[in-house]
Amino acid sequence: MNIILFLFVLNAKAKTDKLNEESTKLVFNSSFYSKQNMPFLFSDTVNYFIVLKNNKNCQSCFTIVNDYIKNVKDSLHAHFISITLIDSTTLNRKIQEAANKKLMPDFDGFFYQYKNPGNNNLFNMLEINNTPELLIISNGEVFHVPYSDIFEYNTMDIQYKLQQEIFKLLK
Amino acid sequence: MKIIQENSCRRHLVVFCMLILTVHLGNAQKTNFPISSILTRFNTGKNSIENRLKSCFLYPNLYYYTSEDWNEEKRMMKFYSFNTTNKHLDSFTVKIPAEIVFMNLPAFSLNSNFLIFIDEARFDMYHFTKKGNTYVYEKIIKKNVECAAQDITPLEQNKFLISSFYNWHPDDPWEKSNLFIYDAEKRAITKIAHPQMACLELKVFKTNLVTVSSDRIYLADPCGYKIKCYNFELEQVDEINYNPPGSWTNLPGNKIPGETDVSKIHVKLLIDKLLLMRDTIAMIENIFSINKNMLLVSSSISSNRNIKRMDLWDKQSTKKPIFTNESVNVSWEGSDSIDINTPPFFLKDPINYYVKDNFLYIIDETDFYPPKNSTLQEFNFNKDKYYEKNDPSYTISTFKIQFP
Repeated sequence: MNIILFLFVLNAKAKTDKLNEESTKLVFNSSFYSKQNMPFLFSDTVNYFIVLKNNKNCQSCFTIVNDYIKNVKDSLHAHFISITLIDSTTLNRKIQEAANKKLMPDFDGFFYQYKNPGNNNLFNMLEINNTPELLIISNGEVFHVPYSDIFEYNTMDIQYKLQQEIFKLLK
Repeated sequence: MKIIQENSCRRHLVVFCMLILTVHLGNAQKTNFPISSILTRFNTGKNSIENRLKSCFLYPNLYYYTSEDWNEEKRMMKFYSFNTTNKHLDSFTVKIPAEIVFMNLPAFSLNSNFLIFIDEARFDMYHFTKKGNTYVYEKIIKKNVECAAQDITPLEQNKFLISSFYNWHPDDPWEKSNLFIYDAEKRAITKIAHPQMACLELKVFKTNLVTVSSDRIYLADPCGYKIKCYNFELEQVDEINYNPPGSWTNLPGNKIPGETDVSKIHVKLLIDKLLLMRDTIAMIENIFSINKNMLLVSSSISSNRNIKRMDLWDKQSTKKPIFTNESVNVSWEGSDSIDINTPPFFLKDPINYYVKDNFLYIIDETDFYPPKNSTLQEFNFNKDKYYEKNDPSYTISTFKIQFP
């Protein structure tokens, strides 16, 4: 009985973790950059679906996320963007932009955060190891979905419960 | 086609890859030797962001094509041939019949008589024969089902060495370790070997553990310090089985601990485990047959990926290397001058390189080179400015490797 209850609790656990006030502030105060190195800040009046990418990633997973977005994009009210953690060079931005466009053609934009020493970036704050991970910004609140909560283990589909939560947040 | 070729006498030569190695002969004698200096560079004009490049080297020509040279609609593939001696660029096209379906940009190898393609996704191999100034499709090579084919290298006498090393799922039909010889004249696979390799799972990382000389094939194990030597009949004729002194650390029994069967452990979890393990052990990363007599072996020996061990072997003497340096730094610091005494960058990430008779040929994905005497900081600054206006192109650099 206890085991069944435990499994139920596990299954019922939300896939999206709401960030605390301090972390939320950091997300809105962090600078991201476009391919042209133009700074970009999140607006708390806009909804975003954000894919986070670093160099320890599962390439095919981004394709799965993109396919999901392609199917649901018209039903959700959000900007679909990706943030990639890179060294701050023009060449890196160009290389990543080309790769991201191929991996995630249905996204609206691609931005970059720089891994300069001492820079308290989003990836450090969220203790991100493998990517993709997701951030969802809805009505000024920020939700984090770790890598382990995105995909069904066997099918590598987007987890059903997560899909429900995304709809709830971005409908 | 934009061609940039520099001559050391005419222009400010960038001595880009000069390494002074402090080497030890035995335990006492120390000798420095510069490993290489750049002679020429040639800009292919092929955008390296938009295009993937496949190449093959058969002295004196370096052959290549990029994704934009494969016109799937017209079924034509354009190849370039760069003569590394006279720096002349030539090209030819090959008609690919509709019955051939490449899943990925195929690897290839050729000589003056034959051209062989390998589809790296399905391991199909295709045989083309030289007719006039092109190659004409003749047949699909029916290979033994156990032989996965990933890399191909031309050998002497119209033979090709095909290799593949991968930790396949047990349900896959392929052996994990494959070496085989395709005799293009006989249109047949004539020899097959499945060498035992310690820690084959580590082949998931970019390494070059196979090198070929005029009559020998050398194959290194991914862990431990073992290099097997084969003739072109795939008979093992020699072996380096070395136990390096000093900071070399092997895995117990030269075996990956724990589960490595990908039917029992998720492949991503296995790779995570191997990534952590890689930083705790010493392992051979690259072997180069430099000339008829010498073999260069570079290894990682610590968690610092920028520090390499380099051993130079006399091929006739497999007891111990003739020179060793345990702490070659293959990375620059911000204030380092990247004019001379710079690290051998090709050892850090060697992807497209070829070695023949003391010359090293590298296909690099960037085309910006530092002015003479610039520091790494200056180089990075200027490089950043350059790429604001330009996209990078594939560049072929030629280096002269020098010995004591």
